[in-house]
Amino acid sequence: MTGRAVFLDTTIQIARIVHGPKAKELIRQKIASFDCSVTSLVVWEEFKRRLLKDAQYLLNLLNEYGSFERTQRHVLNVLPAQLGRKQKICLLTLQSIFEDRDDAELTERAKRTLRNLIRLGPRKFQRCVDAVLSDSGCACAKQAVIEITPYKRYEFGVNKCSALGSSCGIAESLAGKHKELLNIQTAIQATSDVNKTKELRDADAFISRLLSGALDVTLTDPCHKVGDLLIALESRSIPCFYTMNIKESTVLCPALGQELVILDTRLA
Amino acid sequence: MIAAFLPPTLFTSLFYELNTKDGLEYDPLDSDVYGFREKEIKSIESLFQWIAASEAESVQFKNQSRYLPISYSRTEDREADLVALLHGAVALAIKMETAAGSSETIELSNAAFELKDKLELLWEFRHGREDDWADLLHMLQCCIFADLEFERLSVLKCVALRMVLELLTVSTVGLGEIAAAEEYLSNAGFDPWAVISLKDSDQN
Repeated sequence: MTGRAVFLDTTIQIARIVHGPKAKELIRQKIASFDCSVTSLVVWEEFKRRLLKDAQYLLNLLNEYGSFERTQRHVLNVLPAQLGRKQKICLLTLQSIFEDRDDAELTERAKRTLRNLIRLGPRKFQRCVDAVLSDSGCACAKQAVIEITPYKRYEFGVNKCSALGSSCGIAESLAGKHKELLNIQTAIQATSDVNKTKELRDADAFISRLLSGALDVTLTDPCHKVGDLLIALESRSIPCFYTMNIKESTVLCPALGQELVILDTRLA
Repeated sequence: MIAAFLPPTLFTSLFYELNTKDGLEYDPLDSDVYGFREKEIKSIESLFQWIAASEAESVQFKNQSRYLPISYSRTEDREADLVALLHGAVALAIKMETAAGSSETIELSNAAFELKDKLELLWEFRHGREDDWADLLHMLQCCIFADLEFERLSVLKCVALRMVLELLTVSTVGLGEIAAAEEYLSNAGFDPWAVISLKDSDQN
């Protein structure tokens, strides 16, 4: 790959769709300052799991209640605060753009938007970058998004490597990356306990078991359990790593000799 | 009970009319239904009352229907209206392109508001078209309604609007057309996903 390339992780790919106008503009400008932008299969798998399944969740509520207002109330009142923060899609903007519409129309419009998002998600994800790195061989990411019932039911495929068995290529892709794995493990172990997140601890344990040969990689559902580690390894040939995920990336990027570029939403 | 007052054929015909009044068709020979009607019309007086009421309702409906747009009376006319609206919308987008190109901001804004109104009218046709057509129209509306500062629309944005409107004129809209529209709109600087995005004020 020639020129200055930037790797876009899951947080950036999601932010490009559902963050505020200023954040989107910051991302656009940052990416434009590079010659090319790339992302990866495991990022797509996470994008599917976090954003598109979020859309399915909201569609379920809209169908169940048949009401935009009741769906909003449900999300605000019932979803635990921790999960609420993780929810990506914000329907409130739709309400403010179509502010004089009745509940039935808002419900319909919300469903139409979510359907568009689920169906166009795969194309949008690929189209907004120059390349999707696929050397991790993540079979979960290759599962198609299928519309079963319009506005209602969608299938996102199997998201457990263990259920896909031999078609999961992650074990094979990790086989030649001992040096990078060791570098990452050293960096994690050098991190203070305060800064060692659960994801970093899981990555450390995964690497230990992998290097000792006591691990059936596929059975551990790696793209689900140690996604950050896999994405770091997928991105290793790209000199810049663009993310909003500060805690893990400040440890992983230096270990792979990458420049870390962080989207600071406070600037937005 | 009322059967005793009327000749059998007239009764059957009246009975059928009574039972199709609410849009449901009952078998006049069905004893359960027969029993149901008997409870409602207990005397010849109540029958005459019902006939009078039904005639009044009929006249009211006829008067109402005079005020309905003629185009809504037949499917072909509705289709013709839809085509005319779409062509009118495309023409407005072309007008906007010209106005944006020559920096005639008032002209541009006026045409854009007219287009916005046309899209509202098109929205009323959505149930007569395929889901994808309505999804595409909705996406277009999201882009236009999200920012009403039409004076600032660039030529590029106006071209994108025109291209998306042209996609709405195809006989059957599918996922390909929606994907193309999303691309045109995004590339021109619109945000088709603004409606499910955070506001800047909610960003942190």
